[in-house]
Amino acid sequence: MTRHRSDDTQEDPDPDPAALDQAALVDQFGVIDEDVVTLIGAFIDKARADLDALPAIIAADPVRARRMAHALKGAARMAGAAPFANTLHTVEQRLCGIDPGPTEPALAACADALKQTHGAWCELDSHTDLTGQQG
Amino acid sequence: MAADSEHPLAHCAVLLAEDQDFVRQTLERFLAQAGAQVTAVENGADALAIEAVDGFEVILTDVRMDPIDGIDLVAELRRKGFTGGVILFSSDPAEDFADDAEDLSVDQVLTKPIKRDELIEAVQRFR
Repeated sequence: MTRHRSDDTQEDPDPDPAALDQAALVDQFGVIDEDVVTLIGAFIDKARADLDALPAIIAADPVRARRMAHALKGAARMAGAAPFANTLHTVEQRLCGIDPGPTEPALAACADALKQTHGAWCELDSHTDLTGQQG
Repeated sequence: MAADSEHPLAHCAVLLAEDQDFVRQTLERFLAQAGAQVTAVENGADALAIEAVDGFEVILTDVRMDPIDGIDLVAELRRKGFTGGVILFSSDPAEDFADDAEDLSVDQVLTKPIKRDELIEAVQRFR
């Protein structure tokens, strides 16, 4: 697999280790190797693009937006990014009317959580050498 | 490759339908590492476009997908006579679609996040 570097042009806050649960990832994948880090990096890039697109999709087609948030939530859980998944759950609940709050602050919380996830991913990436072992 | 402890799913033909790239690639990796022969598609419509579905021992599908979701996919495959194993997965609680799963003789429902060992064990039931 070609090594994929998540776009790190955005400044990340000090990464919260809980943003990417490494124990959960080991439990899930068996080992955190180069391919796993690459897959998660690609997921973060895709999630960033989806989040950027969501406000316009919410305005045009709320049902599609809810499905996007739902799909992204499932992927975030698979990626060990539980805090990010939880913020997406809030967006999903607001779009289907279960939670009556506004979507804008929920989307902002998603963006913050994704930045934290990216920061934690950068830490993980820096400790995973190209032989596929975690240092 | 014969089935052994490292490749418990050797030669097991699995159809995997999932619209999120990361989830699909992750599950495909789990299955392939276990020796399965995986055909991965992005949604129910792509799965239905495959003619030789009877060749699969197990179908693994996400529930929420567009344009054809996992429930409609399984319903159509059952209508066509597919008798193999069916495993649904979702990030929703299994109770949300328990009635559909029972009507369609779904064998197992998994909730995301799906662990490698959990997935392999679920597919192994059909060997």
